[in-house]
Amino acid sequence: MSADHTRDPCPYVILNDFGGAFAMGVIGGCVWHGIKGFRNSPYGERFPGALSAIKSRAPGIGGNFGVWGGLFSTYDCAVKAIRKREDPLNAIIAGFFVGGSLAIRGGWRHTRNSAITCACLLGVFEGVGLMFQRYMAWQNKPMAPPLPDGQQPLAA
Amino acid sequence: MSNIVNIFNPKPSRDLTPEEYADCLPCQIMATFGCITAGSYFLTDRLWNDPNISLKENLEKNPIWWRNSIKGLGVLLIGYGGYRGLEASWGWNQDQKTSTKLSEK
Repeated sequence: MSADHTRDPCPYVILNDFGGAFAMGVIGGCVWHGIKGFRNSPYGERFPGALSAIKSRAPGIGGNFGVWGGLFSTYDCAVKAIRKREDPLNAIIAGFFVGGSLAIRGGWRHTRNSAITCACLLGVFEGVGLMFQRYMAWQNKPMAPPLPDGQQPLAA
Repeated sequence: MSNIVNIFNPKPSRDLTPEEYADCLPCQIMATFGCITAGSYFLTDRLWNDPNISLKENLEKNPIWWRNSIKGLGVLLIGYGGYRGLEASWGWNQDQKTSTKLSEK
């Protein structure tokens, strides 16, 4: 099979993922904290309250997402380079290391639990993605057009 | 497309081609920077400083064996970062026979 040209090669995809995850976190944080700030502000101060909540909280959410995405991509590239193979196990191993790395300040129990939880979560995501892909492939399987009644198929 | 998008839309499993996992200068630079930064952080005591809990609780949360393991990991990471950096800057780890043959062709 030929090389995958639809995405950046490995060291560059880390920066790409970091930026993408940061942007996703900022946008999601704007929506989440915008609504929260709007609801928690008194009448007449709703829009300034929402804006203030967005300004104070959204960059932090973006940073958290960005760190997760950058670390995940780094570990994914490292695991890919070591295993020399692309399959769902790469993401699960990378998720294990990301969960552990991000929880390292919480102590050894927190690190262990977080690593296992993150690996399981990524395993579920990968499994659901594969199941969905298989279902879509089954739904869109090629089928012969129905022949009109009484017409025999042409012989070769 | 990215590695994160790949989680939700997995590609079919396959072996990578040698070009895809070949070593490169950006890989060496990022590995050097990442390993030395992470290793230096692991060697400091910033990981264990938590003024909100007592010393006893802190030692229960971060026992000595755990602290030493993380510090050992930090030493390993700094060593590996240095190795990758020297490999990148001096190029001593290149196969001279292969490069000569390729240049002759």
